[in-house]
Amino acid sequence: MILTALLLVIAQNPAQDPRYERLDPDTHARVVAIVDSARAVGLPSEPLIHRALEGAMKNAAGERIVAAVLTSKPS
Amino acid sequence: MFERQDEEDIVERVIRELRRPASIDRALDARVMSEIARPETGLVARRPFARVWPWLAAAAVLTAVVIARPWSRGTRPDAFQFVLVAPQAASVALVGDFNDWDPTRAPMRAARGGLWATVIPLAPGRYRYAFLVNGVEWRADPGAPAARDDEFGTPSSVVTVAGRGS
Repeated sequence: MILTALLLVIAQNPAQDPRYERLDPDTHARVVAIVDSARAVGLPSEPLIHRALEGAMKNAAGERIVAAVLTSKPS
Repeated sequence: MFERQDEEDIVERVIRELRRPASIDRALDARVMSEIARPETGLVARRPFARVWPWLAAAAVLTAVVIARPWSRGTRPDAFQFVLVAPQAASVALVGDFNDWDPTRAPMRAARGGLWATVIPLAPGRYRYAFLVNGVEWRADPGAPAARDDEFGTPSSVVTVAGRGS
């Protein structure tokens, strides 16, 4: 029940996805914007989020994470 | 209420009506006889399961379909084993797209000979991953293709899981 409620909240507001907490605020905002734009045109968002999480886990700079996410986004 | 003559008239009319041969559809007679001749007609009354078995058969088919779940064929996860030889390591974690790059979700267990291993379920798809040794050192999987993009300066590997139907 709690998990379902959490998933509903995340689905309604992707910016609240707890996975984004691993990103610094500036990178967080830019990645959310890219992910939202991908979602808006029906592109899958999970690969983009995973790319950002990989960068965060590997302590990459925010600029590099954003660049990697943009590269992963299908045009 | 009635006069005696009226009563007698009524009785007479009823008797005449009852004596008059009824006109019955000829086909009805044939249908009744064919039903009586059918062997199941008598059996149905004697065996209550005869009426139930179609429902039991339908329930069995439904159960089989639910267990087999043909609609999810090709999307169910299969168990995959990941191994790394790292004799000097104190800890190794498997980190990748399948666990949101969270090292706490897939710690690997040490086996003999410096071998580290873990088994995780993977649904069909393509996943980037790497091994995190001692919490600081990133290593690619020597037994898997290297990931193409390497913007973060550390190696990653790729595993592609095909659906069962493919």
